[in-house]
Amino acid sequence: MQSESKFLPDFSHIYIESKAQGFNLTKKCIRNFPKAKIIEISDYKSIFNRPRQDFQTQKQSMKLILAIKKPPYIYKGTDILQDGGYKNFYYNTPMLNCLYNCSYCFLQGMYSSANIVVFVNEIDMQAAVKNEIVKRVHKDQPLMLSISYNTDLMAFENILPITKNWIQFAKLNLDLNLEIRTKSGLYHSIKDIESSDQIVLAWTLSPDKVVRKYELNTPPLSKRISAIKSALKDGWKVRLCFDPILYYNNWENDYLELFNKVKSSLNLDQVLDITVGTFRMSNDYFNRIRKSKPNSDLFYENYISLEGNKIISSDKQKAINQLVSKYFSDHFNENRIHYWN
Amino acid sequence: MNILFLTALKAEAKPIISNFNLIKDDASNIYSNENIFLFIIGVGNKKVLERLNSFVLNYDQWYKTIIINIGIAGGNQSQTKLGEIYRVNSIVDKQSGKMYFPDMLIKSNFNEIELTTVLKPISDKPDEQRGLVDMEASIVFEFMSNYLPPHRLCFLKIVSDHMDTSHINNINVNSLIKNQMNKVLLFINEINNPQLLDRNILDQKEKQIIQKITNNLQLTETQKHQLLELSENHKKLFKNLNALKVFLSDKPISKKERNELFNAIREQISS
Repeated sequence: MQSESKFLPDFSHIYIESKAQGFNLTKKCIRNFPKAKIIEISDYKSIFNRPRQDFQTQKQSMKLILAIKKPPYIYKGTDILQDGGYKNFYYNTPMLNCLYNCSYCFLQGMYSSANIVVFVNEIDMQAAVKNEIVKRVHKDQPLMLSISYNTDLMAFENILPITKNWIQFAKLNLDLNLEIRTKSGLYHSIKDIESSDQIVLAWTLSPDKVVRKYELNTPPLSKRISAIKSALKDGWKVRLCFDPILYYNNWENDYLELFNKVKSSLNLDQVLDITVGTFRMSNDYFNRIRKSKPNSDLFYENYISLEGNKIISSDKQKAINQLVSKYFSDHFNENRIHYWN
Repeated sequence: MNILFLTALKAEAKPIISNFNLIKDDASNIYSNENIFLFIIGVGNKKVLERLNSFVLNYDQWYKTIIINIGIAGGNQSQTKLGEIYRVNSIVDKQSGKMYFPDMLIKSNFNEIELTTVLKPISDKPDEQRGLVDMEASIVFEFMSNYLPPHRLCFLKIVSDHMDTSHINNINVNSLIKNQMNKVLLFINEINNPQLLDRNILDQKEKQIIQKITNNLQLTETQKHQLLELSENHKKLFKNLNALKVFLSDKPISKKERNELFNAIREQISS
């Protein structure tokens, strides 16, 4: 039997669209990986959308694809995404796929490839956001843009400064708010930027047992908490995401332990709000993942199919919501706890 | 794990046949010895496609197969060395312009290079042609992508010439391949990795149990699919399929009874 060390390191190969050459992000990328084999391609889809790719095997040796994003550059928020109470809620995709490999993540069903695509034409994406700000329906509210929906941008910040670039852009556009969702401990990579009320840094937190079993390659809970502490200290708006809260034997004990750790480590009065979610996934993505016979037990349990999604039963959902509500009601009134239902 | 060598020429196949003591099956034209297989696909689009179509009729172990398309190729004089073996990381089909990318997941000692598949050997302005040139890789990739993921399609090419067709008849194909056999064997050792193969939840015995129940109960296609999925769920969560064994001897006499039995199975093995 062979070991995993037989695999090439991540980003051993960088595939670059001819039109993506010359962009700042492309140049930085090439500088960061001087040993990578550079392969020029005409269209990122010719590698990213190949038939019969094996997402989990590719995760053992992810490649980087640098491409030009074509319209649409910005999308309306979906039901599966939490909007955190914002009426003009959008997301965009500066990057496809993620350095992490969470078992419950929809990306493995959404994309046929585990390779990471970075769209280097930030300027086109930002122009589209400006345009959407002008067109937004609810003019009394800013446009809330989730920039880390199909990825974890902050986890990538040591490689490319995409989070930083978007924060700087938001600061020049006062009607734009950003939500940057992450599990990363790399807060220090944006620490030199002055905090802004327009930006919400949203950390997903899970019990250590869940991190170890279901959130492969992510930093442990302690690192995330210390990143949050630093961010709060520097004046950033921080959202805590308990999403998904997984339901399994003794889940309550593990999550209570997590909540206790959060409460004892952070000043909750400084925290903006909390979002709570349970396992959910579109039937299409779920079935695609299930077909590839993943290792995670999450895909071999019984779920309820409702309106095209796989969800847990309403009893389980209720129990989860009640636990959060009961625990955090002293610190957060109900409009500061957002539930996915 | 099965290794399936695909070569265009008999001369390319010979050193491999001899190294692995492969025996030809005259009915299918497939050479094999235990888990090593070899098939000669010929030259020219039409012939290659015909041969590949005939091959897939006689082969079904795709879940554990890695293909190595090995053969000689022309090389750009400034980029390649005569007699050297290269691993191909991108393939362009000269005629259609389509690009193909084998997944480069596993470490190897080969230098990597791009390859262009052409209809006729290049003789005009060979210096303008980058990397390697062959006459079958794009067809192999396109065809075999229907059966295997791109990380199980490998292309190894040995430079026989620098696209100077005047010397083409003097090429000793046999010795070019033979000289690289040790490197090829090392490569096979590197890719002999269960993580590259399809993930199977049920073992052969369990699949047989499901097949027997499916036959005995004369399950519909939908029920068959559901039984397989429920069995996989059950195995993942309980590590065995013992719960199914009590249904092995059941034989219903009507559709109604079949459906009742199926519901009983579902109840028994639902997670």
